[in-house]
Amino acid sequence: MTEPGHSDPPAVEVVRAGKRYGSVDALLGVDLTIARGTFFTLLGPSGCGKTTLLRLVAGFEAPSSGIVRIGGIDVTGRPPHRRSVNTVFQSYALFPHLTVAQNVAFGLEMLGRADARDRTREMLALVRLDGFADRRPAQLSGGQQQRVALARALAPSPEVLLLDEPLSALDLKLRREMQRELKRLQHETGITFVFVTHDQEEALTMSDRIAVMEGGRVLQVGPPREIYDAPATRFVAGFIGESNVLAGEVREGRVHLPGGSVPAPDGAAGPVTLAIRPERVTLAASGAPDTLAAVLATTIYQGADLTAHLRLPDGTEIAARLPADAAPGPPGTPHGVAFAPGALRVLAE
Amino acid sequence: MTDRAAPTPAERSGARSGWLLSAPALLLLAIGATGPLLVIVVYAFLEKGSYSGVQWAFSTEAWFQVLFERDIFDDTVTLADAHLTILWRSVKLSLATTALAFLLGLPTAWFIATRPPECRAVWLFLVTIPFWTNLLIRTFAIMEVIRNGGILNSALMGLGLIETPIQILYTDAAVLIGMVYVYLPLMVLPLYAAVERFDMRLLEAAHDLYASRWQALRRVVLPVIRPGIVAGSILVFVPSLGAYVTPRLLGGGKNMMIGNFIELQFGQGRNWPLGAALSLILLLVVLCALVLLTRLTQREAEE
Amino acid sequence: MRRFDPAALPGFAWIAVGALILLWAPIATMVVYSFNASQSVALWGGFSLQWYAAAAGNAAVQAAALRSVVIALSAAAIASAVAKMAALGTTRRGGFRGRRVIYLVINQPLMVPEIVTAVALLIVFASVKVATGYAGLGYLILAHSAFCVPFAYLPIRARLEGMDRSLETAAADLYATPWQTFRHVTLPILAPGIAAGAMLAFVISLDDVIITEFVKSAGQDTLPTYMLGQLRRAVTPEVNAISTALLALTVTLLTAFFVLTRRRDTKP
Repeated sequence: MTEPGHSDPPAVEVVRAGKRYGSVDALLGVDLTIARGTFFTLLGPSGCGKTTLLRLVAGFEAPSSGIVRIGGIDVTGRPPHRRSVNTVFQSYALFPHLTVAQNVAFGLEMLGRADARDRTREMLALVRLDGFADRRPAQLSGGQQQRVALARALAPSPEVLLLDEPLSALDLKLRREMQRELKRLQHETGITFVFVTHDQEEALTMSDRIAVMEGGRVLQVGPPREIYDAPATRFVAGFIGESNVLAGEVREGRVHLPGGSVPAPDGAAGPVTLAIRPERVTLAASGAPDTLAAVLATTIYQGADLTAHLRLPDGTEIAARLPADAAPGPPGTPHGVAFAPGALRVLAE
Repeated sequence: MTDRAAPTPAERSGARSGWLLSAPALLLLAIGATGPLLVIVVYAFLEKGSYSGVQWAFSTEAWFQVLFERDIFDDTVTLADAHLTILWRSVKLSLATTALAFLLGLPTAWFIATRPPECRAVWLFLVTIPFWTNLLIRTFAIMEVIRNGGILNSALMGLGLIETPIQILYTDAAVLIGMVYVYLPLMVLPLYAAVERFDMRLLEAAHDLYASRWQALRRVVLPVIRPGIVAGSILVFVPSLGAYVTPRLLGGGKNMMIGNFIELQFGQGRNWPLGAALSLILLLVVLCALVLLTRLTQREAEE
Repeated sequence: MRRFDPAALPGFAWIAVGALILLWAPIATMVVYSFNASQSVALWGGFSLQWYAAAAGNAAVQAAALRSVVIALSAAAIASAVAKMAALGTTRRGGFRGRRVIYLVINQPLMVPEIVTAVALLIVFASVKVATGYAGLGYLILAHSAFCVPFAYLPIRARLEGMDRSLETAAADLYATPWQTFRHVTLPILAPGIAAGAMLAFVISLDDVIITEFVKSAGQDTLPTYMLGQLRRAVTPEVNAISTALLALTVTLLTAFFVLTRRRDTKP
């Protein structure tokens, strides 16, 4: 997915990579291309294969089939210490017997770099831990340990930085702070970041591109907005944000749903599964054209807004996000459910 | 992420290097511990030598001698009372030692575990030091306390409780006191480990559900810390049964335990096959106790 | 009103204090009487170091002490070397068939009563002595090394099991070769376990009575067997002095070890 005309090879290419553990398939023929200098996120629930994919790129695991290229060079059989890739581990994996500075210098020393001291100082400044060089990891807070892990992995200037759910151990406030910090570091260093997370909000706010994974496959790759607005499958629609999923049938340019019919999205035909975000659902007068007949089931006040759950004649519930001052009435009030133009998406099963 | 099916090449090489790295340790133990045990099995089925050692002929005489005595003159066979007494005394004293050590050890472990965390290390250290102190020194120390002119008798006479010294040394009681003293730390340490992990909120819950202190101890604490009780009992019972130094110094020549009796066969008794047979019996009893006690904890874990 | 404390079981504190007094009173008595000026082991005749001087000047004690230290150092070195390899072999490679057998053999000296091992070694080494004519310290060093293996093995294994596997992965990720990973990461993290194991092995070997008594050739007394021999005849204050000196050595080693490991773990 590199831009045409660009002669540089992509930072990471994974070609038909499969991984079996005994009789369990962790990855099923994954193809992935990650362009240089992007913040790329692998998003999916636990057990979807995202960490396995990361470990294949790092070289901690060998693929059962397929090829891994880094910077255009096939590294499939290479051990991790001969790949220009560094990892920020979920547990940080800071060496407890070494100081902060010794931790950061570790990779530089293994590479025999003469500038190890200066580079270490530079990296500690980059992650704002200047005064902590001689502390031990156990004397640092969780957030500080996280910064050391980042400095250590960035110090050898790898082509690709892999981050394995690095924020999952932090509390919410610190997490937000580190999210901004990571974005800043990626921007300043220009290194390709491959970030693994199961948190869709984190993925949406931080990434240039997202790959959504499930069951050992990549379901959809694209920029956050595209993933959110145009989910390709039912799984993506359900996993990223909230979605109403409806079954209907397209006849003569209209999609027939329980309680009425609305104009069909382009190119839809026959029986279809459709998705629509709650914030793209509006309420209209009962019986208005291009609406579905429904009755209000419950309303949930959420401070900034209000979610109304409406019941269609067949019992299907549909959620609508309304302004906080909306007054949909008591449960049982009849409403017409309308969809914002172009917001209805056809899902591939 | 483990492989339950056929071993992968990586696992096969893991097993190979595992054996390879363990080989020096296994070799050392084979020569210096395990191998000689197999020789004992052979010796138990040989004829005793005329002076000492063995004659290389198959015989079950040693096993016969464990239980029976053959009169030298008329070959009449009688039950070997002395042998049975020694075996029975060994088991009895070991069980009593284990029980007493538990009765003293549980409160001690509980006391240490309920101290403030920063003090616990100091209390634990007070138990650990005697544990690492030479067994001989400790036996010798308790011997000084209980002998006729020792501290205990002097104190009792000084208080006017007794007129003449009580003879404790060279009795079964002396052996029992000595073994409890010597092996008590082995009971306290595993019990402490179990009590320290015990969630005190369980006790609050028990009291909340109307349990008295005694009921809470019996119905909640003891079942939960059972693995610690079992570990402590093994650690005390096994060395008690095979005790040699303590009964020798405190029991005198008459109140032998099986360990001393085995030694006697290799020394003055000059009956190596009988000594070997007795060693195997001791080993067997210990293994039975180990299996029985570990079963107890495993069943707990499965429940 | 006093708060109801469910953890305060009545009488437990008294029994605990009693048990601790039981543990320490005999040792304290022995230490005090080792400084007794009187020949009697019961009557106090004033402070004196004469028994220490007597013990230190006794050639048999000197020889036994030297022999004890030589054997304990050799046994600790050999046992921790083989135990380190075995721990690496059995802990890091996932489960493999036969691993339980290795555990069983390594821990065997902890389960078999010492007297049984002692007579078994007596039988075997007696034949070897006759066959080869060699009657040096080698038998004692071999026997001590063997029963010290589990004491050296268990702390190393515990350390390995507690070690975060991702540390080694991280080292490889940071361009360390497998050998560099072992040298710069695994070994330094294992070091306290190795030191603990070697120290336990040293103390265990130094304290051994039974196996030494059965394996030693004539004139090969160690300090404990020398004391046992003395006790067989009559209790002398000299034995008090030797015991106290050995006790002091043990306590010093253990205290140093506890302080060192605590500092490493709490204030790394």
